[in-house]
Amino acid sequence: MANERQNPVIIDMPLKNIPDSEEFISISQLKHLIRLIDQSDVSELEVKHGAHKASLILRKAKPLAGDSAQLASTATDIEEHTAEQPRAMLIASHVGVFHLWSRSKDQPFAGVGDLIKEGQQVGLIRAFDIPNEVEASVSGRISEIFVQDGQPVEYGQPLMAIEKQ
Amino acid sequence: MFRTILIANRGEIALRVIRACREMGIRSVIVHSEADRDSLPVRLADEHICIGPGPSGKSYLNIPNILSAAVLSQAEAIHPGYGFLSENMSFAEICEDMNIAFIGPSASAMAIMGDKVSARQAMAAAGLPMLPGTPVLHTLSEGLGAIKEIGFPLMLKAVAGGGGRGIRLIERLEDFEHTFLLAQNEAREAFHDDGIYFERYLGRARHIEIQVLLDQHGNGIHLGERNCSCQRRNQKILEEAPSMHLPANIRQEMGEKAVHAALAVGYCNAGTMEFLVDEQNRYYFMEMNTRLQVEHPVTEQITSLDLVKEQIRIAANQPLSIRQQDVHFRYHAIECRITAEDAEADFRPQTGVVTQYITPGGPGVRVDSHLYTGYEVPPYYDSLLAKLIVWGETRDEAISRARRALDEFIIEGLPTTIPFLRRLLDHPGFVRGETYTRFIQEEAVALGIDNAPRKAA
Repeated sequence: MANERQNPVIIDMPLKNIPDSEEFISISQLKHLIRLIDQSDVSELEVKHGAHKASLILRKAKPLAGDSAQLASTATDIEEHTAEQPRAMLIASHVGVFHLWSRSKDQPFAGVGDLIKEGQQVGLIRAFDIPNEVEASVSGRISEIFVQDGQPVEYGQPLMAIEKQ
Repeated sequence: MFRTILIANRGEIALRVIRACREMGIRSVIVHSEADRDSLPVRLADEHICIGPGPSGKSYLNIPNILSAAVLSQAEAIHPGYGFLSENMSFAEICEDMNIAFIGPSASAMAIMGDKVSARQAMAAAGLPMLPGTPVLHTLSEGLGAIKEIGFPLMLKAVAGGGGRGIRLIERLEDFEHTFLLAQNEAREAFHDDGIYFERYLGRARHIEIQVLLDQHGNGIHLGERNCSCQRRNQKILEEAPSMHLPANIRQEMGEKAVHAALAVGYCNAGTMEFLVDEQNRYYFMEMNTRLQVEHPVTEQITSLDLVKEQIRIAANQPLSIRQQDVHFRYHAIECRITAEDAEADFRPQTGVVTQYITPGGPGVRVDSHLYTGYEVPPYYDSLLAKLIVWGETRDEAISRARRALDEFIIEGLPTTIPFLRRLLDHPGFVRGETYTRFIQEEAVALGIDNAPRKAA
């Protein structure tokens, strides 16, 4: 049930002038990389060095607001502040099997691009035949769905991202 | 045998069960809270499933999420560890209904032994000696009438209490009314049950408990006793086996009676019968713990048995692999409970990041702990950090080894009870084996914890 991660940007650094016995990346190179990742909208950067068969992954720190929301709440919503639109993360509050498909309507509860209202059912998590409704806790547009119909989910697992509107 | 076991616990005991599973070739699935995401058991289990936020009411006690995790991971059995759901009868019952083996006694045996009053009745009927006591009472006038036969000092116990909670000593008749009403109010608030009963209080009693193991085929054995007299506010601090004062014939008699009594209520799996033993080695049944206990490694070291593996085999309906005559005792074992508490400040619980963690080693030393350098002790749970278990050919050797191991043990970043345990091991009374249940309370000054506000426990 590992959370899905977006593919990292992989850079094969030209790492010259560093003897094999030393660290494969120097402090100044590392500083440079951190500056690069800070200024860009890239969230993850992987540096590989063939001779050492080593790699270094740099990940942009999550905004503080998002972190504290996750710590503080049992709510199913975590906000991520990006430069443009506020993005809310809908997370699983039950352990069970996630369903995107509505049996009664014979269509999906929601899909990417849908405009949804706060409180609207966007899926369900079934735990031994007990359906638990998944409701949007903000209004907005679904920008991403991280889980598939029928996939088992754990507590706190991100289900969907909603661009607040 | 099971292919997959779900572990509904955390910390060192979760790790203990994972280790047994690994050695038995069983896949382990751990459920955990968000606060334990980076914990060692989560890292070492074959699979991990988050079941809720930090507070245990929403995670480790969240029965629907735990059972859903069991179904999703195709677990055939659940090990509840100690605490949390380990003595929760309805949880055991639901597991039975769902055809998931609960690694512990049946819900029906738990129902009898989990309630102190019905346990006393059943155990008295099965031939265990009881301290003179009263039935459950709800009013002050009932109480005043019932205690005439017992006399003072006496112990007041809340029916629904446990783990040292809801117990008070009343020394004089003058204190009775006040203490009774106070305790009843507390019990009502804490346990939603204001039932109270009384027992005669033994001044210099030792806490001696008998470990039993019973399979589902009617076989039962006992694994000797543990002396758990080093307690503070009814919480065990240090346990040892064997008890140096208990003659072999009494050990055997207590063990046989304990097994007989457990069989009489249809008990199976591991369990512990707790007794108070007075200075004349007269013993009285107190209660039964219907689960694996924190201090089980002490018994493991003197019997060379693996109690967790035995529990798993029993739950898988296998007969006991050994008979009573195969149980042999060797060594003297001592367990020290190292907790995140400041002993000099009334044992206030501490949280923080472990900045350095170096465990002791060498002959006769075992450490059961979930700690590592960089581990953050979360605020939500029990303060147990590590169990140091040592053993030697004699009690003296075990004590020297325990001192040596505590001196080697480094846990930095937050206060622990290591310095206090070290003083306890140096105390002449402890060295002579003169420990009884009020030993730590009465020796608080010598043990360097005298600034703690003292009240009758």
